[in-house]
Amino acid sequence: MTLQGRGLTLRAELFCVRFQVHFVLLLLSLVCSRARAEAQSPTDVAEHLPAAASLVLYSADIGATCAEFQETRLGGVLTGNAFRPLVDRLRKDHQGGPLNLQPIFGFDWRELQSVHQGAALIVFPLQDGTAARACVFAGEASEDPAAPLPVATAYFSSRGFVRSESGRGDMAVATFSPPASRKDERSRVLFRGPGFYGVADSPAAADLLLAVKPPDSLSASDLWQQVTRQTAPPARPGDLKVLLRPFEFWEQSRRSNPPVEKSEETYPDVPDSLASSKQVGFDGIQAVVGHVTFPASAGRDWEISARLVVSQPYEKAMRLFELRSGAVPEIPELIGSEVTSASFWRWDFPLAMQGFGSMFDEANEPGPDGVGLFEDMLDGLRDDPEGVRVDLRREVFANLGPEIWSVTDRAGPKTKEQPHGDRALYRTTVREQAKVGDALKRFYAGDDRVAYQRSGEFDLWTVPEGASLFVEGESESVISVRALALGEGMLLFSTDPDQLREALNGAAGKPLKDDPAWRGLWESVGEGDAGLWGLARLDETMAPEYAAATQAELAEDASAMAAMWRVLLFGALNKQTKPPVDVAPAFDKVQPGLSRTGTRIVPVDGGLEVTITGQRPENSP
Amino acid sequence: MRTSRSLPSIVPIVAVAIICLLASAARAQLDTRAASEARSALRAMQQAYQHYDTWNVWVAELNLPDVQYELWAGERGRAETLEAAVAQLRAGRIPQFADAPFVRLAKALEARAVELQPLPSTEWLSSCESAGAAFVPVTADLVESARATSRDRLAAFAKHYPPIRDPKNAWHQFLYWDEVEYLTARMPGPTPAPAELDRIEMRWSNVPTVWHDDLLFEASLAVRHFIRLLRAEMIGETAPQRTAAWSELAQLLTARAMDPNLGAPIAAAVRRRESLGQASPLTATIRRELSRPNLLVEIDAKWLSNETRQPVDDSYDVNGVFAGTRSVGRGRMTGEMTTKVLPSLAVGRLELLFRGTSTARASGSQDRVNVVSRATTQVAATKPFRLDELGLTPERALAGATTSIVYESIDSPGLPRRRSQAVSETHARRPQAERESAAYARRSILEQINEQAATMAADFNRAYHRDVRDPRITAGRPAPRIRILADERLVAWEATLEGPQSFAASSEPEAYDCGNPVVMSVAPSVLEEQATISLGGRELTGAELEQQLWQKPAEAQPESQRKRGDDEFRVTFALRPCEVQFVEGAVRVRLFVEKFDSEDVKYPAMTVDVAYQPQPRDGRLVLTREGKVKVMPLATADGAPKLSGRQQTLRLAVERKLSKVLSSEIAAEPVTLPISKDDERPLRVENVRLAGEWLQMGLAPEPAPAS
Repeated sequence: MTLQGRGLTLRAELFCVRFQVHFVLLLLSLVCSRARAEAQSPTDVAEHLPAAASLVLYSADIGATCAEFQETRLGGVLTGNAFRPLVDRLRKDHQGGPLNLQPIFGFDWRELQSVHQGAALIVFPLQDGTAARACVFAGEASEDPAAPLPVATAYFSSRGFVRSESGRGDMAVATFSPPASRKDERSRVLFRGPGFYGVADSPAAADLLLAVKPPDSLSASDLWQQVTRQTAPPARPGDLKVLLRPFEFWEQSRRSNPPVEKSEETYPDVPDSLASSKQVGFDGIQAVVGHVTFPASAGRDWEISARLVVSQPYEKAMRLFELRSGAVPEIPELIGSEVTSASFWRWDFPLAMQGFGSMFDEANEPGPDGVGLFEDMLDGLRDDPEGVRVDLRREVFANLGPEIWSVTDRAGPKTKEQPHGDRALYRTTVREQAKVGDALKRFYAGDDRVAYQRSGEFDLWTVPEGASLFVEGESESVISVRALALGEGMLLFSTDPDQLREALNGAAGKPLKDDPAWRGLWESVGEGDAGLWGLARLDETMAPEYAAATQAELAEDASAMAAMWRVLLFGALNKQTKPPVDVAPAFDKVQPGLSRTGTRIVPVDGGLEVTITGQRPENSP
Repeated sequence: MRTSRSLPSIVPIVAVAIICLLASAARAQLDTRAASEARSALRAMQQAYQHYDTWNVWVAELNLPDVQYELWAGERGRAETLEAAVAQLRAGRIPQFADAPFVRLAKALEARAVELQPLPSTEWLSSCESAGAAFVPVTADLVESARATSRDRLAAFAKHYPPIRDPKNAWHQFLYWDEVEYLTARMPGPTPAPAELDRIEMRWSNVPTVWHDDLLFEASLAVRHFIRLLRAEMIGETAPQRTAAWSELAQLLTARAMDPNLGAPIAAAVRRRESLGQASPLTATIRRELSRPNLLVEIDAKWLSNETRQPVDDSYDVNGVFAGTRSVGRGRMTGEMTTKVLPSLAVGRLELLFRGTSTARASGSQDRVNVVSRATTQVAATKPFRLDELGLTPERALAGATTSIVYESIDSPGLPRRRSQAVSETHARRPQAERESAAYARRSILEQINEQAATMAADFNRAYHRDVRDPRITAGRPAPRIRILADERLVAWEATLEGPQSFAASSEPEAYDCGNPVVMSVAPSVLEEQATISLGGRELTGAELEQQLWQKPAEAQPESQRKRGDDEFRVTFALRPCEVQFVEGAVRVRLFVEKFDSEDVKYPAMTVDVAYQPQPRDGRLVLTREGKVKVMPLATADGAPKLSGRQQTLRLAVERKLSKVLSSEIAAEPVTLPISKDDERPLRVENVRLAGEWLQMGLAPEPAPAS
């Protein structure tokens, strides 16, 4: 089930935390290297970082992180032969990005792998709101020609940057100014002093960074304290600590790279996914704090443990995240093993529908004008004398839930809209079935596009391809529910009538619960009470986004995930840069690095505790 | 014996006769022998007499502009105007009217007037029956004959205006010259598509509203006639089909007595018969009866006269040579500019009149004789205008002046004898000085009045062409037919805006005695036509729709709408995008939407109903919405079963979006008429009513700001 607005892709599978999984994949790609070293305390560096940082990736031993990450299946793929042509091209073109750090900082992963010190990659705002980037190391800078700063000095000098020296207290600062012919380039600043050193991607960034005093630094902030608390004691030397303020990070990045065709003045009003996400209330996610570990051992390839710090009370679409805690359920028979994802969660259904309404409003009528559209629609269905007079809130929503199962697969017809045959099925419990049935019958009465039939103990309603059971009109993304069944205390609905019929008849192949791989993953995330459990196959579900990201031009309506792949692969989103898509590896070369994942979300005070585990098959090398 | 002629020898003669008759009958749709003879007689008379001194008097006596209008109006021509001219020609008051050209004209106009008499409604059904039975196939010979005529007339026009052959020439492009030449040249090639024929026929039928030229007009008649025959030949209607079609028209006409809303199907049926070369006095009568002017502006003649009255009080420098003496000084012209509207039934005729007195004091010197003089000049000038479908056209101005000069001093150095001689010589040159001074004044006033007339015409035409005529021609709709009816009491500008397959107004508006000097009456068909041009078949964003509906400039929209909401939805209208009715005190509009795309949702075809109550407020027409915008899926519009929940969600979602464009209250832009002498003072809407099928507004000028 997908609900998509202008530039906005909001998937109901958010409850499988695909977003978090994919986002962390992006972060992981920043640390592919081969070194290994001793651990250090994160406070070493944090005392020199600004508290307003929107992204901090910290490793107490960057060399160890690189080495551990490379041991994972994803790390192996990203640093392996499949990606070599792309990395070589990026280096040749001096295109900076996660796969090629050198154009940004002057050194690359090969230099980091031998650094056995604490290191942080940070993004923080400059005074004009744009993003500044810096890489800061704890300890003394090495004079070894293969160490980061000497390599950076050589790199910028070789590219014609003009070096100037200055001092700031006990810090030595070297500024590399680009030649006049490279107007788009920014100066880089290398700094070293007692106890820390690093590189900033502009003089303004260096100024801000070097002015940080410990009492006002990141180490003193509540959020960083949470990171420290959550990650102490570190389980492995290469564990990565993460702090992300997603909306600040997004805004700063956008300000640094405004849409080409829009002027800076109009930018804040340009309708986009950022504005839409705020409109629906996702900016209620204040921060993500946590850590990533790379055990790369049998059963567990990597794991993310994070806390989503969420504004309270939950508002707008964030109400969809307001999960109810309970015991782990048994996986029902109807779910086969050939799924791409399966999830279970518990909702206060009427409350969740209010959250859904916010997304519906934004998808149908973006901006403040659209607020209340869904509620008006429900009112109209209840009150309009020429209408059906069905009170969906009272007669249907109030009788659904709290248990919800969601299943996606790729066994549907391959159409223009769904080239991979994606389809989704939902199942929820029903309390007063007769009341719900009566409401649905009145809702669809006299509609010649809706077919009704009895299927065993179920009432079944379907509409032809391109139509929707909820709204007259054809939609590529707004909930094109085409089949709905009610019976046996359950309500099932699906984007594909065949999927729903298959579910009513039971899984045709092996049930998921009998599949050892899925079963193991389910059990590994299933301990204790939680609000959501989910299973997913990234090697299947990522394909469309990867394909979109490797097009010559990123489509206007490309999803956020496709944009992230784009950044990961090519380092930039802007249209001026023609990415070398011709040397990007095919998805089948990437697939081995993408695991099955298990997700567990526990509602806690102030947010959600999220654990995502990337499965490593038992026979994986 | 004549009767003994063998049958085979008669056949060719009969065949030729039939072809001639058919050609004549076919031409009757657009042109008739009597109409052609009348135009020819009028041209001959004009060529023979237009240089006579009394020509203008005769023009007025015979009402020649109206006569020519009626002869060019084809089946829409009014017999009364022609009959009145015939009466004048035969009254015997003017000796020249007994000359052969005038006698020929009288006879031709009389014959044409008989043709233009409408059929009584009691004969409509029997005429349908006769027309249905009179089947004669359109033969290739007939088409070839029409093709040859078209070719000849196009050649004649091209000889008269050679640039028409230049592909870059604007008229070449406007007239689809290449396509028409291709059609008339009978070159091998693909059969022209019906839509192509429709497009060319429509463009050539609009020609007379853009360029008045005899040769071009004759060419347009020939081309249109040829296209109709070509179309008929291509379709090859059979006798039963023809009978059935006329029978269907008869049934529609009968049913109309019970259902006045059958105008649209009748219009389509009539157009279909016409387009196949079957126009007749019946179709002409139906059009005249059911498609009357639908946009009227009636202006109180006295108010108009006052409104356009302008005092003149100008000072000027005198610097000229009069009677051989260079004179320099200052003068002052006082007088009044007025406008007079002459009586008319079709072509409006206005005269810009100036009556004034100029007084000037100047001094000059010649041969050491210094003269100070005071000249008083009486000036009168008339600038005629023609107001018709072309717009406002200035015609040749006339001016007269008489000057009297008084010498205040004549001074010459030297002996008294020399002074005396200087005085007498100066006085002797006075008549010459007065003549030259009068001529100077006449030239001067002609320059001024011509300049003012040019500005006036340009202002009027800019508005008329931009807002009324040109959008229709560009959109492939019939150009507006304009009539100006004027008498001592009232000046009425009547426009008939009809579609290719729809009629204008089926009735005339009742007199609206609201006490305002200007009354504007609008029939629903005007709004439908306007909507067809601005919305028909178009895909618009919400912002564009608002702009089209309410003529709001983009920058007048709220900031938020221009940015975030600009492409919130896209709506595609049907080719015929709306129906408008004035019912129960409200303007009820039904919009036909083929597609409504919002974000990623594609909604199916639907109708959108909205009703507005018109009322005057603060000098503007304000439309207040009655209730909500009502959206219905097309399949369930009117009389269909109740909406399902799914359809209801469509309705609710789209209603909400459209409600922003079809807002609860809309203030129309101020009304400005091109007659207003001051654009800063638009006319205020003071009274509004809906009467029958008419929206009527009483307008008055804003009070002049206190000086």
